[in-house]
Order: sequence, then C-alpha cells, then structure tokens
Amino acid sequence: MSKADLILEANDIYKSFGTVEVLKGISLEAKNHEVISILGASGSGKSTFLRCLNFLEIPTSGTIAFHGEPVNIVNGKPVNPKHIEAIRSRLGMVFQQFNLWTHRTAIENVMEGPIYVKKMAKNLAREKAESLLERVGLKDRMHMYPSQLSGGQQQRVAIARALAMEPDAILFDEPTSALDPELVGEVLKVMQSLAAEGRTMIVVTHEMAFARDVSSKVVFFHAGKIAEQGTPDEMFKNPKTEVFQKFISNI
Amino acid sequence: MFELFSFGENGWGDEILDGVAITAQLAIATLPVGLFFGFIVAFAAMSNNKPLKAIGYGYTTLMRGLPEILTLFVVYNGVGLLLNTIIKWWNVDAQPLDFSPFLAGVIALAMVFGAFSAEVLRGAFNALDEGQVEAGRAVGMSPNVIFWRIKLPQIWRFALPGLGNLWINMLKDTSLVSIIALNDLMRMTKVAVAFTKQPFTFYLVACLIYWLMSLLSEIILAKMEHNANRGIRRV
Repeated sequence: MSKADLILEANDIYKSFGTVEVLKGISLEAKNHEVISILGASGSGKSTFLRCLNFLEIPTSGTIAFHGEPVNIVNGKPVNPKHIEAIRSRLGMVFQQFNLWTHRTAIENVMEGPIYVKKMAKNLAREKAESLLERVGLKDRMHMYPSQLSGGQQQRVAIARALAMEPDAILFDEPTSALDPELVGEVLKVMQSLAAEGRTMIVVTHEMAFARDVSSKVVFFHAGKIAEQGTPDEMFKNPKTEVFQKFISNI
Repeated sequence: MFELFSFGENGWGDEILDGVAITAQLAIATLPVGLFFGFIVAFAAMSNNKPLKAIGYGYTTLMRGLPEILTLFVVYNGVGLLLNTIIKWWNVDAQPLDFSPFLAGVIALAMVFGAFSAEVLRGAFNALDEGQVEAGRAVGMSPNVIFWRIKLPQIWRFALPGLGNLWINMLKDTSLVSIIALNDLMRMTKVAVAFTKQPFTFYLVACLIYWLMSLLSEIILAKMEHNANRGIRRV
C-alpha cells in the first residue's frame, strides 16, 4: 500500500461540545477502495467523528489530512475555508435525514453541485444526473420533488447527488436509520453496488449485515474512543473486547 | 356623477388617476429599498457581533414604536435640514436644496418597511432547516452559493406571507405622504373634496381604488406563494 492510496487520515481527534467530551482521541485512516463501517451505541461519538471528517464539525484538537495534506485549524476556525470547500467537493456525504433540497426536483438536486461547485455546463450536468438517477433506479422519478418521493427513494437521490461530484470517498451518516424497514433494502443494495465497484466509503451504521458482508474494515466506537477494529471476519467471529461482545449480542 | 370623474377641465378623473400613479410609484419604489433595509437589519440582528446585534434589534424596536407619520416628518424635515447644512458647510453660497417629498416618502416608508420586514426575515431564517444548509456545505458550496441557491429560495417561502402583509400595509401607508404635499391618490382626493364639496363620493372612490390595489396585490401574492411552495407537500 503506497502513500498515494491514503485518502483520509484522522489523527488523535478530540471533540467537545461545551463541557461534554464526545471524542477522546480517535485516529483512523481510509485508503483507496476501503469500505469502513463504524459501529457503536448511540452517543458513542461515531456520527460526530464522521462529521469531523468533512469539517461539518471542527475538531477541538487533532489533525485531519486529505490526500496527505493536513487542514490547518486555528481557534476552532479553518485558516483557509476554500481548502475545506475543496475537500468537501471531493468527499460525498449522505445524511440520515437525506437533506435533499426541498425546493428542487430530484434531478435538480443532483445537478446543483456539479453546476455551482464544479462549474460544469448545465447540459453536461443534466446528462450526468440522468445517468446517475438511472443507476439508482429513479430515472422515471427524476422530475419529482423530494416530498413526492419515499424515504428510500430520497436517500437514493441523495446518493446520486453525492456521486455527481465524482468524490474520492463517500461518507454515510446512518443512511438507513430514518427509513421504514421495508425501504432499507433498496438503499443498502445501492451502497453494496458502490462497494463492489471499488468506491471508498466510510459508513456509520447499525446494519450489522452490511458491516459484516460488505465492509473491508469494521471500527467499533465506545464512549468516544475506538474500542476495537479489524476485518469483519476477525471482529464478528472473535470479538476481543467485552463491550463489543455485548454490543453484537444485543443486536 | 360621471361628469365629476371625466377627464379634462371639468372632471377629476385625470387628477385622481395621476394620484393613483404617484401612489403606485411610491409603493413600488419603496419595496426594494425597504426589503434591502430589512435584510441588512435582519443580518445585524442575527449576527454574533454584540454591538451589531444591538443595533439590529434597537432599530426594529425604535421604528416599531414610532408612528409612521412621525417618521415621515422626521425624514422630510430632518433629512432636508441635514442635507442643506452639509451643503452649506461645503459651500456657503449654495442655494438651499429642495428635498423631494417623493424621496422623503420612499426613505421614510422604506425605513418602516425595513424594520418590520427584518422581523419577518429573521423568523424565516430561523425556520430554515439546518440540514438544507449542511447539504450545501457538504458538496463544497461557498457561503455565497449557499445563500443564493439554498437559503434565499427557502426563506422566501416562509417570508412571503408576512412580506405580503407588510406590502399591503405599506401601500396604504403611502397615503400619509399626502401630508407632505405629494400629489398621491389621497391628496388628490382631498383636493377634489375641497373643491366640489362632495366628500362622500370622492372618499368612497378613493376607498374603492385602495381596495382594488390591495386586491390586485393579493392575487399576485397568492400566485407567488403558489410558485414558492412548489415541491412542498401541503398538509
């Protein structure tokens, strides 16, 4: 594994909200083509950590480097906001609540980033959006507004929106947690196909089957720290820590 | 009866119509200025900078507490005086400048509209779902793009009913400028009443015209709201 394969490097990340310390020294690397599942009870800090990776939350201390280039943070503010914008444009993000722009149709949601961030020509962005929506199985619904789509469909549009930026990696923040059980499958299927084509993904999830069968690495968060990590095989067959044993037996 | 409203020497039709034009011009000229004030005041009130915040809130509190007509007098007399003092300061021999009542009307009405619309806009910004903005940040949008492509179209939806109300209020408040000798609908009506001694007829016609302008506004606003709410499920 050469250095060039390293996409994201988080080093000793701490994050506090007021007096509450949510992250207590997290270090994690994401290499090209890796699919990392982050597991943990709610409140363990896993979503906060994910949001630190694209600076939706600014770490209290610690460094995050993108393609080997660390981001300078001084007094809780990025020294160069443009650097962060550039990183975000190359890191897709899929939210638990989808967060599709309610005033735009499915295809407009997908076109928005390429046009207004990457300055892509409109007709090119439209072609691209069409093919991405086809890929997530929503070509027939591309002119609908988010409110006219089911949760599963909205989340697939959100995935297409992330893909439209041609990201180096995609962050998923509990992408199926807000979905009715019968809609979870359609989203997982899309995510599985992304993993299969070698996309780099970091997924905060409660879907054990996804973590076990799709990811290349599993990271278990407990009380703001990484309690255990390894390949899904090691982790699920021989859980080493008591907290992780307890966690998987409760599912 | 109809002769009273005919056009030309004997009737008041053309005068009244000129008044309507002034009223409409005044209201339409005030709207963008007032809305601009409103955004500035709303941004000040929402800022993290304490003095700026105090100025934003202070302005709204002050303007809301003043009768519109007083604001108008203060602007008309005060700003005129101020301008002339400044001009005299530069050039002692300068002729005193006549401060246009139309401009005074626009500034005073815009100051009031700004204060009230700031509250509407602030409420609309607060109603904005943070996730919508976060999604923009997450694709790498600059704050500028987020404002124009996400925040503005979304707050527009929340703000439109409130702004519509303020617009109709302001349309009627334009009648106050008749007091500073601007020949708007109200003043032309009063002149006609004084001349013909037929108050009931002319006031009734003025009522009808103001009401029609409001009605027209409401129709346009309803269309705009419908448009702004596209994609929003009505519950």
